[in-house]
Amino acid sequence: MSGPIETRSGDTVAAFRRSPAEVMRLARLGCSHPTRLSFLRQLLRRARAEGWVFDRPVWEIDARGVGRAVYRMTGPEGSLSLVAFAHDLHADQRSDRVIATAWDATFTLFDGTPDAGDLDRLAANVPLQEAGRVSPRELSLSRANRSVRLFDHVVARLAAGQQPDATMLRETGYLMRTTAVYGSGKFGAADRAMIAGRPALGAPFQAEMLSVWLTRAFTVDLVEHLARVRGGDRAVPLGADLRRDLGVGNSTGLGMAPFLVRHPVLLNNWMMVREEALARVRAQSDAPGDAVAGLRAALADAARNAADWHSAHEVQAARLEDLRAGLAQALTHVAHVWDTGGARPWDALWHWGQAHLPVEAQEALLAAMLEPHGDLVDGLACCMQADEETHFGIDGSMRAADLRAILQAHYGWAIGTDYDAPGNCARFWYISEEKLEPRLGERFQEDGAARELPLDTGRQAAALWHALQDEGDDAPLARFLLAHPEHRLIVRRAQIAARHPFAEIRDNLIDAAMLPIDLLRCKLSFFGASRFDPRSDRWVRISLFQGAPYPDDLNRRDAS
Amino acid sequence: MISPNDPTRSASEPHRHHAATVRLSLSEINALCLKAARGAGLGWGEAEEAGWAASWLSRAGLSGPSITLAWLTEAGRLARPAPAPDRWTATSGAQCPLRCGIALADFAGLPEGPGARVLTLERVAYPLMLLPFVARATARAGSGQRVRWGHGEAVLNAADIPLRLDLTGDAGPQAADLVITPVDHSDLSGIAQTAPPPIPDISDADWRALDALALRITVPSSTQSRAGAGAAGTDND
Repeated sequence: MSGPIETRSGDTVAAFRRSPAEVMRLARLGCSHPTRLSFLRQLLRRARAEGWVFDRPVWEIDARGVGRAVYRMTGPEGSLSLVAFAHDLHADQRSDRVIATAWDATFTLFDGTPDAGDLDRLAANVPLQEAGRVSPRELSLSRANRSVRLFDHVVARLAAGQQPDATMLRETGYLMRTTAVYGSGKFGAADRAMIAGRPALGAPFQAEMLSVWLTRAFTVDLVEHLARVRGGDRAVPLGADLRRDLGVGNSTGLGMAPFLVRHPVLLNNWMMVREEALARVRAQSDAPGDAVAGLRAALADAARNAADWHSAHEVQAARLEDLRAGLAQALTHVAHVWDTGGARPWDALWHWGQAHLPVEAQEALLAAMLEPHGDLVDGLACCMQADEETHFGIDGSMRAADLRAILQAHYGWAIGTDYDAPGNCARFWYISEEKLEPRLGERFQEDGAARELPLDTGRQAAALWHALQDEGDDAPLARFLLAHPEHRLIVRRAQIAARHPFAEIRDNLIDAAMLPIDLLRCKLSFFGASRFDPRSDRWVRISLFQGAPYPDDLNRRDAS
Repeated sequence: MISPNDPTRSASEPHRHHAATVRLSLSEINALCLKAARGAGLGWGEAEEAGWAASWLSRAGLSGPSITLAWLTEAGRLARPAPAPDRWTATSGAQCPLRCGIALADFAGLPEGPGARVLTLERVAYPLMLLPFVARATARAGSGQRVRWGHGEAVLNAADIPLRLDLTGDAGPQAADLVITPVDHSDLSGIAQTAPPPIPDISDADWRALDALALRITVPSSTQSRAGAGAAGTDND
């Protein structure tokens, strides 16, 4: 990604890139859609390309649905196993919140094939989740709760020899939803650095995505098992089409929001790859028939998905209206108006979208435009990881004048804001004593602002800007930081932002009107999440792997 | 209702574990020491450096969390450095190793920092804490650096772990003068990189003590804060 990339016609792709000032606004990030570069799509492509095989070496689940199971993938680098523990959870204990202490099922992704001793060790710890300890042999720790109504309905129908109601199934979209998927060294698990060198786990969140994908298979096996227990010979398996429409849900709150702010280099790489992919598509000088057909199919898929996508949340409900109307407009335009033989047809289409579509549909058009261009953009996926430690050090020899210029170039959205105005500092981010849950408080109504987390990036940049006014142009930052250690965090961020233009979300994260769900949607779209359904302005349910193949659709060990 | 072992009431959950030691991952060490340093009153930017330094030391086979804890218990009494060419003089008691380390890395390549000349730092407490920062400084100083103090010596380049570390007579927490000497690349190439040592376990007592400091950055829960963070409806649907 360094240096300009030449297109076939010799022009640089750079001319077709969107600017960070346009892209890194919450109002746009909050309309992000999954693309073929999303992490779950990367996992599925690799599983296919490398011919991973799958089996289920352990299934010890009793008639109540309690017990353990192991799902194993084997690829060129060895095996990874999802160890699943199924529990009997009373309804009054079922909570998706991080502060819950019991779940319908708990999971870990084990590096290799666990033996009986490993399983016993894991059985003593994984069901406790945060209160247990795992080891460097484990790559993730997660749990899931049943979607109670649908789960019971599916078991009852299958037990009676019938298929479940298709509408009901489509509306919910999953049998279980995960409520936390921890990776990267959490609770004793393997550090990211230990696995980042393995090709299959090099891209971001691959262990977590694999864990969720195998969890999806487990949820279907579990309902079929319970249906057989209840219905005996009358029971039937879930029909293939209905099964494919089921994903795994995920229920998540504010925990994801600080992640994007704390990992600026990683965020930059995700955004920059997606933007580079869009620029490559726009820069093409022609639109061959198969690519146009692929675009139409992708838009039609998006329209179908939007029709099935519901949300009672007023912000998302309005955006869904925008999306459905915009996709219908785009389908019509592509079919009847778009001149595929004109100069730079993809860029013309993009500009039409900018002029005529609401933001929600513009971002959906982006995803659809990438879809038929795998050969052009998939290779970029390798640039989405980050070695963050190499960017941690501060260049103390930088002159104050240079840092001022960086602030003007990358924090212009922040340095002129009056952060003393109540509306501009209405919120504060903090960690609750309760299970260390990140939360958002109202500064003028709640206690705790003295323990605020440094997610007030704009306010910090403005404070640094003012503090730097007294420094001579040539004064080295080392001297400034010695006298003003309180600016150290934002100096680090600013130097990172100078080298990584998409590192910073260019909005005030403590503003009275800030919508946390916009941060969540940005991150979740990179995972590949669909059906974004806010349950409040800081809590959301989504679906993963809906419509995707199951592991055993690809390569069954016993069939190979 | 809170049961005696209710994990919703704790931070990184030390209380459930009865073993004398525990193995933390590097990311846990980083996060724990960052929060503990912030809880002890450091600014966020400095606390980040403390977390990073603790994980660097642990990767080098040293007890990063325990060193961090010991330093934090007296960090408030330790002097800030006054960087100057050739010698950083301790004028008001022992110097703070984190702040010296941060300044060393920040001043690398500048006249006051490590570079082509020998640099002496007087009376630095917990001298091991300086090593991660000297390692970082080598990248900008343009050469490797040898650090000698009391009875310890380390040779550092920009790698994740020391090229060589000799602690036969390390004086531990005792403040010591440190002499930082540039080492030519040709001399560095003669030193074989030691294999990465295992990350040492941390004692349960140290874990609890760091966790107690880390909890100081958290906000006690209230009905409003608990309700505000979740979904508007039920999860039993």
